[in-house]
Amino acid sequence: MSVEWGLDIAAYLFLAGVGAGAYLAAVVASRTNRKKYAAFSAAGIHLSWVVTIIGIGALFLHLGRPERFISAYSNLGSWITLGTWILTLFVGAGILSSLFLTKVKVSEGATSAVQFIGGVLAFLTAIYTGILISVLNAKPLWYSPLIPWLFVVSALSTGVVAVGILLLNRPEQREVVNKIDRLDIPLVIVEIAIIAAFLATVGARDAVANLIYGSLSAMFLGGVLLIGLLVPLGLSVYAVSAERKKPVSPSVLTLGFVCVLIGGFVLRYAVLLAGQI
Amino acid sequence: MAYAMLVDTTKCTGCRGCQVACKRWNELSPEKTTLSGEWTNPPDLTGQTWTVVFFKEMSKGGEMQWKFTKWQCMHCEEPPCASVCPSLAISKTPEGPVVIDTTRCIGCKYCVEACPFDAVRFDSRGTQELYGVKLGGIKAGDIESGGGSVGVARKCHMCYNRIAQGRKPACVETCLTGAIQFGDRAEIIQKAKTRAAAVNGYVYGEKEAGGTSVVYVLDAPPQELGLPAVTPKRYSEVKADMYKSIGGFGIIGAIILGLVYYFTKPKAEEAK
Ligand code: SF4
Repeated sequence: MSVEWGLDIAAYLFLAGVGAGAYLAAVVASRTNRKKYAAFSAAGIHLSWVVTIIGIGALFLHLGRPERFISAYSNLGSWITLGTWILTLFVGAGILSSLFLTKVKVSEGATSAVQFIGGVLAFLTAIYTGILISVLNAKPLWYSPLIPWLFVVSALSTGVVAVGILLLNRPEQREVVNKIDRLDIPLVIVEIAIIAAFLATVGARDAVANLIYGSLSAMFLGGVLLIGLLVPLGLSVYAVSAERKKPVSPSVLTLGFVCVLIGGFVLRYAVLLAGQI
Repeated sequence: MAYAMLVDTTKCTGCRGCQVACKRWNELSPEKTTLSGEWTNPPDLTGQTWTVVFFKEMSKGGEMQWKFTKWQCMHCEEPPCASVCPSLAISKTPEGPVVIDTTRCIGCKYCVEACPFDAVRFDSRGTQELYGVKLGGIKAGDIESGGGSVGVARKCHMCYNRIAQGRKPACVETCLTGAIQFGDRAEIIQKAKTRAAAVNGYVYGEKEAGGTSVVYVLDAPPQELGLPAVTPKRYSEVKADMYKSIGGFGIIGAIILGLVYYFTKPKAEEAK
């Protein structure tokens, strides 16, 4: 079997996830405490649609006939069509939210209405990247109801740390960055639990074997499990305990955040590859 | 009328006449192949090879036997490829063939991923000439007149354009031994069952994917011959099952989240 969905699709699923996660986190944070999370939420909202557009660019380049992309809006029974609509609306809501934060002055009600709709679209974006492949019984590894939820959690954790990276060089945001770092602990634990459940329950035993001790094991165990999950988890736990005495160096936090992003990308790439070979 | 094609592998001699007839009628390019040690040639379906006879050596009671299995799109009754196509470029015709409108295809390859029989291929020839730069293409090749067939998904279309003229598909007409037959689907299934009973064999395609318009008679279990094991469920059921499970896990997740929130809330308030 040939691999037709490779790096470009992995990049797209990853970037759309980062965008969705960043937006969702931004909106939730600003609902919890508007003042405290103002910088976080602004950075998340601006970042969300920019990375999503880059992801759409990767998708566009993947097409054999990109000049006809407009017909991808046609079949509402297809998850590519649904996804194209969701992404279009999500990017629209993202740009609008950015404008409302900066150039355009509107009422508070309008801002929060757009942010609410944007939040729903962000969730749909995140879960759609998983549903897209999980409805295909032709690829037994992908035909698992846990993939959409795995991608949602991964979208949240990668989105949040992406915003964290943007705030790293702002000393006054240090408290928020620490919170992000701490938030990653439960997210990583949940992710590990979902991955374990996914591998244990999915029908494609050969593909699972391939991920764990076959040709993809270095990518999966090294890239996803070690770099993407265990290293950031260890660093966060270390930071939390060390922080009580004196602030840990920002490079520790940076390293953890970058690892989460690498892991998020490799996760999608490994799942795509393992499903197709 | 709904037609079907019968592939009686017990009558196939491996002459590959169907492969040639398919290329001629559909004006498909030849493949450059290399010596691989395998007898199947070309080694697999491609955007320019819509049917291929798989050559397999099997031993039966200590004796070596050739198994020839002609392969192509199965023309599902409810085609997953058409269901997932975002551009509505694929349709099941009332006569049975599943046809790709290559002027609508955007080359997303979702159908390639969705086909349970691994029968659709992306044809990337010549995308460089189309755009001047490499966009998802492999090597520059020839662009057919009309340009509609480059950078798109392609596969067997059961010669729907011959059926429309009252003729049989090209492979059926060329087959010397009667291994490929064509007719009313109900009759083809009857024939397949009778023949399978006579050779103590297996029918493939009557139930797979909710039924297909290509039906096989095999003298070994499908999986031993390398044919994919495909659920008898229709694709709409396959999707509905998945939606239900995704929703189920969503509810479980929400309950867990709710409980965690409930039990950690007092602590969070203290912290403020
Ligand atoms: S066998 Fe594959 S390509 Fe042919 S109709 Fe079924 S899903 Fe489509």
